[in-house]
Amino acid sequence: MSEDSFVDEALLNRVKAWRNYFAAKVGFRNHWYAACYSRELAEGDFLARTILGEDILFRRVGAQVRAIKNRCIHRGVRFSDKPECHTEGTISCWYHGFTYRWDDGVLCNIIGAPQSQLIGKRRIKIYPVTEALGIVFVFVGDADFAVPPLATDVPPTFFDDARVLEGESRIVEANWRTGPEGGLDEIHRYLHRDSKLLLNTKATMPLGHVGVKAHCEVVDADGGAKGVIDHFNPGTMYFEADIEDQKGVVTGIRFADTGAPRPRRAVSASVWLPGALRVQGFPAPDLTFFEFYTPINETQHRCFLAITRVCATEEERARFRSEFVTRWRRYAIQDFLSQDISARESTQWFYRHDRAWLEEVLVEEDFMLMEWRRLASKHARGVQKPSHMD
Amino acid sequence: MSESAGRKRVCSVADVESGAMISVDIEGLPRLAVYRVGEEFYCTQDMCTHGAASLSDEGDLNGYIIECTWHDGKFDVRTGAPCALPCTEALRTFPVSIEGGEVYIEVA
Repeated sequence: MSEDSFVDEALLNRVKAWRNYFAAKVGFRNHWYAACYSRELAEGDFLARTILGEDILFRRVGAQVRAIKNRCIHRGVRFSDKPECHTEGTISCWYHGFTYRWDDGVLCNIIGAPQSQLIGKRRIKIYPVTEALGIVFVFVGDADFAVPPLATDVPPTFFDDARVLEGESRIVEANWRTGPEGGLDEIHRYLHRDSKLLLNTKATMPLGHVGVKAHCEVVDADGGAKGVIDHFNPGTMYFEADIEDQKGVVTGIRFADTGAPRPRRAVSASVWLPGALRVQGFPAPDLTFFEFYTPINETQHRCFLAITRVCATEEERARFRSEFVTRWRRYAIQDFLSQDISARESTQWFYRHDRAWLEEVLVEEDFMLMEWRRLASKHARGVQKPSHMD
Repeated sequence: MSESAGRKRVCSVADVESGAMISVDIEGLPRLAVYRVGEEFYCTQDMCTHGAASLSDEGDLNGYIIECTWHDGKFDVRTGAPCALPCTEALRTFPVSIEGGEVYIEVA
C-alpha cells in the first residue's frame, strides 16, 4: 500500500473512471461537513467530534461556534478530556497550560512556562465553522485553501427562504460511501416494502422497476453544488414477484384509487458532493428530506437525518414541529430510514475489504451509482489521506 | 424468447466508426455490441459478464480490448476471452461477415 493512501495503489489503478472516489475511504478533503445540530451546543458548551479522522473540539463562544484541533501541540493530550477556558477568547490545555486563541489558533500563553519563546510563534489548527438551518457545519481541509461558500456543499434548495428543519443524527457502523449510494440506489425500494411509513402516508411502493438512463441528470456547473439527480418517473413498475413457477410470492404496496383524479407523484432523489442526499416530496409531498453523511473514520460515519418544510408563518412552523415529533420521527426516522441504516451496516461486512469495490456485481439499474462515483471523483476538491489525520 | 439460428444483419459498415462500437438489438437475441477495429468487425454480447454494465455504453475500446469502466475488467473482442479481473467469464461472440457494405453475424 502507498504510504499516504488508505487504499492499495494496485487496487486504485484498476479503477480509472472513479479512482478518487475509491481512494476517499475517509472522505473528500476541502469540503464542508455537518458536525452537529445547533441545539447540541448551548452557550459555553463543548463538543468533541472526529470528522474525516481529525479530532475537532467545538465550543459555542458568544453565540458563535468555534472549532479547534482537539490535541495540544505539546504532548498531544485532548483538550476535551478536561476542557479549560480561562478567558472567553482562549482555550487552555489542562496538562501544562498551553493556551490558544480561538480566533486564529495562536499559542498566546503557556501557563506552566510563561517565559517560553514558543509563545506567539506556534499555532494550532482552527477550522472554519458556520451554522445553517440548525446544523453546525465545519470545513475540513488545508489551511491555505480558499474556503468556498457552504452553498456549494449542500443540495440546492437547502437555503430556500423560510425553510425549517427538524432532525436527528445517528452513528452508522459503515463506511460513509454506503450512505449516498444507499440513497441513490434505485432498486432498494424492495427493502421498504413493509415499512410502516407506507401505511401511514398511504404511499405506493413497487417492488422494482426498470431503470431509465435518461432520468439521470448530472449537475456540475462551475461554482455550484455538484450532484446526480434521479428524476424517477416510473415507467414499468413491478408489484408482484414471481419466483420460478410460483406466482406472486412477494407483493408491493399499492393503495386503491378512490376514483378521484389524483396527480401521479414521483419522489425525486439526488446526491451531492461531498456526501448529501436530498429527496423531494419525502416523507410527504410538502416536505424535503436531506441527509448529510459525515465520515468519522474508515468504518463509521455520522448521518444527519433532516426533514424540512418551507413554513411561511409561526403557526406552520409549530404544526411542522409537532408533526415531526408525533409522526415523522416515528415513521420516517425510526422505521423507514432506520431500514436504510441497517442495510448499510450489513453491507459493511463486505466492503470492509477494499477489493469488494471491484468484486461487487452491479445490475443495470446501478448506473446511477456509477454516475455518482464518476462525478465525485472528478469534482471533489481533495482526498483525505493518512497524513491529514491525527 | 428462443433464438433462431442463421445469418442476421446487424448494421451497416458505415454505422460504426473505426475504433468505436455500437449496440444493436436483434429480436430473439440479447443486446449485442458491434466493434470496429480498423476495417475489422467483431460482435459480442453487450452486457459485461461481471456486472450488468453495457459495454457499448460504459466501455472503452482500445485496439481489440474492450474495457468495462464500471470496474475496469477487460475482454478481447475477437474471442470474448476475459483479460483482466474482475471479469472471469468470457463474452458470447458471434462470427461476423461483411457483404455489400452490411455487417452480418452467424447465430449458431
